[in-house]
Amino acid sequence: MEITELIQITVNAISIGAIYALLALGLTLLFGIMDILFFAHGAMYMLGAYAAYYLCTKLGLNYFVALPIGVILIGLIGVVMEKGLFRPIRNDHVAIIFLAIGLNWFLESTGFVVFGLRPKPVASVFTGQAHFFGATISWERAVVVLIGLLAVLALYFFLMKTRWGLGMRAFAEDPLTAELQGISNDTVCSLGFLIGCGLAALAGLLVAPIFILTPTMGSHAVLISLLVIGLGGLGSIPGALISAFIIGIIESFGTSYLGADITWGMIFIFVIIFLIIRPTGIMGVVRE
Amino acid sequence: MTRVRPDPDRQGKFLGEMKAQQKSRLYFLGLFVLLGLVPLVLRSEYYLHVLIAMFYHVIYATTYRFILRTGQFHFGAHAFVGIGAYASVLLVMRAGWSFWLAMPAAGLIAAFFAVLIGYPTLRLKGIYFAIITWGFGDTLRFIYMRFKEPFGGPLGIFAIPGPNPITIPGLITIDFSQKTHFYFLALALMIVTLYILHRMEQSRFGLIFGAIREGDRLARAVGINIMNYKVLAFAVCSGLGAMAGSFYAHYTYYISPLDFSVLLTIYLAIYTVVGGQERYAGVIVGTVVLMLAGEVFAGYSHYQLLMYSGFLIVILLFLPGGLISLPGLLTRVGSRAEEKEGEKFRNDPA
Amino acid sequence: MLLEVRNLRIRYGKVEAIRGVSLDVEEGTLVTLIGANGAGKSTILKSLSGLVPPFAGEIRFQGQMLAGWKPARIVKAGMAQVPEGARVFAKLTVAENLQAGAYLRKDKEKVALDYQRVLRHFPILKERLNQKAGTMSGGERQMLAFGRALMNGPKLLLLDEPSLGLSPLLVHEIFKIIEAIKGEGVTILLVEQNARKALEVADKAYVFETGRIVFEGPAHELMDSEEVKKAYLGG
Repeated sequence: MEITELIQITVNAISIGAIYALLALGLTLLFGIMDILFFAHGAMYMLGAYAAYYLCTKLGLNYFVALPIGVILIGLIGVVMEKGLFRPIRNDHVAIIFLAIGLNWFLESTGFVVFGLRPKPVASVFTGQAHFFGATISWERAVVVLIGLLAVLALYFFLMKTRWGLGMRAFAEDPLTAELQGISNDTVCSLGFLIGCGLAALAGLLVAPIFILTPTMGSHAVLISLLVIGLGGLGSIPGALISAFIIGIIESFGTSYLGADITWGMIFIFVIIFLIIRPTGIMGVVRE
Repeated sequence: MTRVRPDPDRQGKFLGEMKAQQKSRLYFLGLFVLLGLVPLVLRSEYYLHVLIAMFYHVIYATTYRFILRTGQFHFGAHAFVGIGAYASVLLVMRAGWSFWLAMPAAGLIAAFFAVLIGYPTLRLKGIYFAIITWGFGDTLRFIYMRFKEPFGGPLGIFAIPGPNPITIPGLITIDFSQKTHFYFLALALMIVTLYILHRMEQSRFGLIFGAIREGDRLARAVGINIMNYKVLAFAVCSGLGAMAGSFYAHYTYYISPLDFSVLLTIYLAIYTVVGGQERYAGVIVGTVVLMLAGEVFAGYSHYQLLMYSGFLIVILLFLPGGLISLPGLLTRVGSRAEEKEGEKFRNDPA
Repeated sequence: MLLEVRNLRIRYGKVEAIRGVSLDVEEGTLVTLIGANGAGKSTILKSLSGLVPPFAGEIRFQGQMLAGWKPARIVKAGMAQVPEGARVFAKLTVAENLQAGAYLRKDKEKVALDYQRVLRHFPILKERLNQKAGTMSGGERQMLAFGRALMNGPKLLLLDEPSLGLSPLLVHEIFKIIEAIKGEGVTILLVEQNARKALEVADKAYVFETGRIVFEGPAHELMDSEEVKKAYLGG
């Protein structure tokens, strides 16, 4: 194996990992804070990608104008869902999972009806490639990596350093006691959905120029993110980050030498075996 | 050591349940007899087909529910149905087995995979089980698509032979040339499955899982190895589902990886919740009602899924007990009014 | 009157847990609510903080009816609670726990003053500011929970069984702290099953039994009452 080839595959791994990390981020947040496995995350991601299509391709908006519009719009859809659908059954964990499942496939099939079956194109914003040490990465993927990392850092900063972040972490541990400090559970949950769905939308908007847009892209993304956060340790943001890159590396090397479908089989088997040995994931945080 | 006092409330509930069970057993018997008579009256191939599809979906859904009731969030029912279908087809077409051997063998193979997957993962938190079972199903799908030999690749397997004819000398020959023959086979499979599930629920099994669900630590305290029960339940249910999958393959003559996508599990989840998971009857009602409603959109699968998932959301929010709880709720509405009287001083529902 | 409760009734489903309770807490006093475990004392506190909606009755705090108030609004109005079993945020640091207490407060200078005051009261917390709360002992957690509640800047402090599960030595210390807090002008409503200790520090006491108040009066009178002695102070 040549050294440039190795570098190239590593670069690919980082770019894949960054997308997965971004995908898993919102899901991890909702799980870590609210203990909700939010299947509809995939649908929000799909909506984000289609937002890019409608805002950029159809309305002709600049991509960087469309980005915040899409994120905020879909974040707000998340808030509406939280208030209207999730709040009434907040204490019933089984019902919440089913609700999230129902929503994901409701939105997916709505996507088929509204967006149609034909894959939609979103024009690339960045063309050309960057070169270093003999490896190439397309600029648009480089931008995804960059924004993905920024999003992770921003979320981490938000959770650890701001008052609202503190409130969310307090809520995650003990909602009732948090309420007694004046940390309104309702507000925390709305905020969680705003950020979680916003992050899903951000991922969708970012990959829109790279991936092919179909309404089913969301369900596929949820499966991947579930593997990522399962491997990382449910609810742990650093864990999700590490495992996203591990899976990125396996996928990158695997597809180069073995082929894509075999690689996915391997990733799955790897995750299962890992979880059998260490059921709490890499970071070992599992809530009872 | 704490003394466990008998709880009169629960005993009363238990007796009430017993009575209700006897009643529902009668209902079920009557229903089965009626269903057995249907082909005598109903000649339409289409309606028979709808009923047959209902029968094997009832098997999928009730076995799915049983796993759900053990407290595990199952997300890979499609994996085991698929194993059943592919295994039985390959045994018949490649190894030359008789369908009547291949079907139970397919069930056993699926049960074996269930133990393999279940033993390590059932001890994990419910969510992990969901992730792993879903991943398992999708991996299988990759395998079916990738390996043309022997799985037929993305196009699947065509021209699957029907079940081998059964001849009862001097009486009749059932050669599965007619829908009616499949009808009785599907009905028989469904009745057997329901009976097995019923017996499991009545046995220590059901009691233990009932206890676990109600947060009762008694089961654990008594020292029963819940894990083994969970694995066993998972294996039996997966095996039964796989046998239905085998039936499906030999009934439709054609299978492809698309038949066993996660959507199948989603449908089963929807049938279960919409009908009401507290009782068997609920799941069955959910399956029947939704499948009938789905016939309206036959051929427009996106609209069908749209309706199903929309239905699921509405039920979760407004009728948590599912359709089966509707009659009971209606009779109770009257007694609700009296509770309202003292609610002038109420905080917002937290 | 800082807090007036009139005919409070609370139901869980069909069961009426609190069957018409009335009590008054005057500003600057320490009022205690004693009675056996499981009698529903904590339910009253939950209801005062807005966590459990009453079925009927009135709660007035500083003359305002609290009907329909959310917990956050009640905290802001000046009622803080230390829940049973301390319930600190185990994965947050001690400093973050205290910050969580001041979650709603915008008056930065006063918050800083309160912070200093809490650290003065509980020097042990000062040594552990960056330690995760979950790594501390039971007594330390109880102190942190007190500190957190004081960070709310309360006019009325509700204490739910602060001595539960602590060693006699710690119980003694906790009650000293309660007296010190009272000394700073914070009004306290103390729910306790350790009746003797509670009556020692209280000005006024209510004895609570299965859903209703059975005795009330100045703490020293109750302490001398033969009936109360027999039933609640162990003879």
